[in-house]
Amino acid sequence: MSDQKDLLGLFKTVAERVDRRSFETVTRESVITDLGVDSLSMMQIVGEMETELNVQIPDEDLVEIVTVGDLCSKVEHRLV
Amino acid sequence: MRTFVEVIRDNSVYTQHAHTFVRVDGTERVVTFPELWKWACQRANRFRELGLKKGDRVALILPDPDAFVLAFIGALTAGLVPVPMYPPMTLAKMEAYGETVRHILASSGARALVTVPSLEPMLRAHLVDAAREAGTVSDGVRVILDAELEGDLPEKAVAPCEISIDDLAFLQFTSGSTRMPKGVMVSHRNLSANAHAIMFDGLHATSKDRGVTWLPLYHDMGLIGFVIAPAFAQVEVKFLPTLTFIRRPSLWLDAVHKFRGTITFAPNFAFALAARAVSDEQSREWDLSCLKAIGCGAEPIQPETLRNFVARFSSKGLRSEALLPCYGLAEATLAVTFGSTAEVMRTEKLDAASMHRGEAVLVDGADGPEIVSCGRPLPGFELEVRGAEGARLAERMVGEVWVRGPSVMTGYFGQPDATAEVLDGEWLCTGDLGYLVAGELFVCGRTKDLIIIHGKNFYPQDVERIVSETDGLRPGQCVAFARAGVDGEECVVVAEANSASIDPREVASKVKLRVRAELGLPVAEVVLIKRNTLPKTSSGKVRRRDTKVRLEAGQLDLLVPRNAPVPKARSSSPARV
Repeated sequence: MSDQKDLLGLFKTVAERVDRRSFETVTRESVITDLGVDSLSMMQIVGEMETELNVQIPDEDLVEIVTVGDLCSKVEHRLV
Repeated sequence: MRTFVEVIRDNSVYTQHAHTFVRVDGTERVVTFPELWKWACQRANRFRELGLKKGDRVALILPDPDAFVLAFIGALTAGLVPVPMYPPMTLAKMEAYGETVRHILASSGARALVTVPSLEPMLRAHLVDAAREAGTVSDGVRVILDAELEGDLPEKAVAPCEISIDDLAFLQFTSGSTRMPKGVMVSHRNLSANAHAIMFDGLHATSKDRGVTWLPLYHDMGLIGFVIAPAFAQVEVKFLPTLTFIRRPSLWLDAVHKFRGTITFAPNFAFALAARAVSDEQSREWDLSCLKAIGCGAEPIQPETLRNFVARFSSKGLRSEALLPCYGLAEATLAVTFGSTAEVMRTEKLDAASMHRGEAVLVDGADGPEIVSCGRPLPGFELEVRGAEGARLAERMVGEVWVRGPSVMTGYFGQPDATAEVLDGEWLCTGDLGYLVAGELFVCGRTKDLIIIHGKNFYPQDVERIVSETDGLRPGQCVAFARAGVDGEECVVVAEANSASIDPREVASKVKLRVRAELGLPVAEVVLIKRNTLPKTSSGKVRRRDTKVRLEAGQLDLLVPRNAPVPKARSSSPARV
C-alpha cells in the first residue's frame, strides 16, 4: 500500500473527483500550484486521501508540501 | 451594560455549562464556564508577567481553537488588545502571506505575537524582514510561544485589570477588496451591543441553545458569532478546526447531530461543499431537527445553493425555516440585519432591464436575477439606501447601503483617511449595493464594482455567472470590471482557464457572445489567466479592483500574451525602449 505508484494513482483519482478534470499526466515531481489546484481543493484532496487510507497528516506538515511527491511522502510517512 | 470580560466572569458563577474544543489532532478538550474564567485570569496574569500592559496590541496566530480562545480571552482580561491573524494555509503563497503578516504587525503596532512552535521559525523570518524594512529594531515584536502562556489553573481567579465599556477590545483586520487589510477598532461597547442584538433579537437564544462552528476564529463571523456573542446568553459551543471541516465536510453537520446543535453559521460556499461532499453513508444516522438557526452570511448568498442544501438534508429533519440569511460587516462589529427564525428564506426575481436603471422591479419570468432578503435591521440599527449624490433613495431603488447603529466602529486603527472615506458622522458606508422593501434589505453587490456603461448598470456577478458557465473556464474563478476605454467605460473580463490546452480565442469569443446575448453588454476584452492565479482575499473572495490594478500593471499570470487593445494613435503612450 505504501508503494509510490499507488499513492500517485490515488492522488490522481481523488483530484479528478474533487476538481472534476483529468490529472492523467501528473507525476510526483509536479508542483501542486502549477496544476492549478487551489488551497480549498487541496484540502479536500488531502482529506479524501486521508479518509481512504485512514491516516492523518498534521497541519504543520501540510505547509511544507510543494509537489505531488511531497504529499505522497507525507502520507507514506504516516502509513509506516 | 456589561463587558464581555464581565460576562465571562459572571458566567463562571451562574452556570456549569462548558465549551467543547476539537483540536486539529482530533482530541477534544472540554472547558467549563467556571474554568474558562480561571484560565482567562491565569492567561491574563501571564501576559502581565511577560511585561505587556493595558492597551498593548498582541497578535495571535494560533490554529487550535482552544489555544486561540484562551489566549484571546486572557488578553482581553489583561486589558490588552488582541489582533487575531490567520495561520498560513497549505500552498499559501508564502511571500504574500509574509507580506500580510508584516503589514498587520506594523499597522497594529503589535508588541507581541503569540504562536505555536511549528510556525515560529517562518514567522520569525518575516519579523526580521519587517524590522529591516522599517529600519528599526528598537521596539521589535516579541514572539511568545503558546506554551509560555500556560500554567496551573488558579484556585481563585482574579483579573489583573479594570476594563471599561468604552475601552478598545480588539482589532479586527478586514481585507475588503483592497490588498492590504485595515484594522477595525472594536470597542467593548460595540461587542456588548452586537452580542445582545445577535443572541436575543436575532436568534431568540436561551441558555439551552447550543452552537456548533468550524468558522475561523480570526474572522468576525467565527470570533464574535461563536466566541463572544454566545457568552452573553450562556450558550455552550462546540468548536471544530476550520481545515478539519474543509478536509472532511461531513464533520460539521455530524457535530450538529451529535452535539444537538441549535445554532450554526457558514458562508455560502460551505453550503455547496456540504451538499456535494457528504455521502449517504456519513449522514445515515443524522437527525438535524435540532437546528433552529443555520445562518448564512459573509459572502454573496446564492439562493440556488441554499435551496440545494435544504433539499439535500430535509430528509434528515433539516427545516427550511432554520436557514437564516444575514447581512453584516466587520465595520459594524458583525451583524446588521437578520432573517426571521420563523419564516423560510425569501427571494425576489427582478426584471433585468429595470435593474440596469437601478430599480428593483419584480417579474414572474425565470431569467432575471434572483436576490435573497437578508431580513430586517437588528434593534438600534437604521438603514439608508443612498444614490450617487448622497440623497436618500425611495424603496426598491438600488443604491449604496448605509448603516447607523450601536455597533458601528469608531474607525480603522491609525488610519484617519481610510476612516473618513467610510464614516459620515454616525453613518457608515458599507460599500454594498442594495435596496429596501418594507424595511427588509436586499443586497445586490458592491458599489465600487458596479459596471456602468452608457448609463446602464451591470452587476459584475451577472457577468461572472455567465463567464463561469463557459466551457474551458473555471466556475467562480473570474471577475468582471469596468475600465476607461476610448469611448467611455468598457467591460473587461479576467478568467482562469481550466487548462493550458484550451483555445483562448474560441473561449474569449464565446464569452463575448454569451454576455452580449444574455445581458446586452459588450465585453471589450477577455483576459485568460493561469489556474489558481486570480487575486483573492484570505477568505477566498475574488478581488475585482486588485485584479484590475494588476492587469494594468502587467502583474497577472497570463495564459497567452494579450493582443493588446492599444489605444489608437495616442502619442502620450510611453515610448518603446
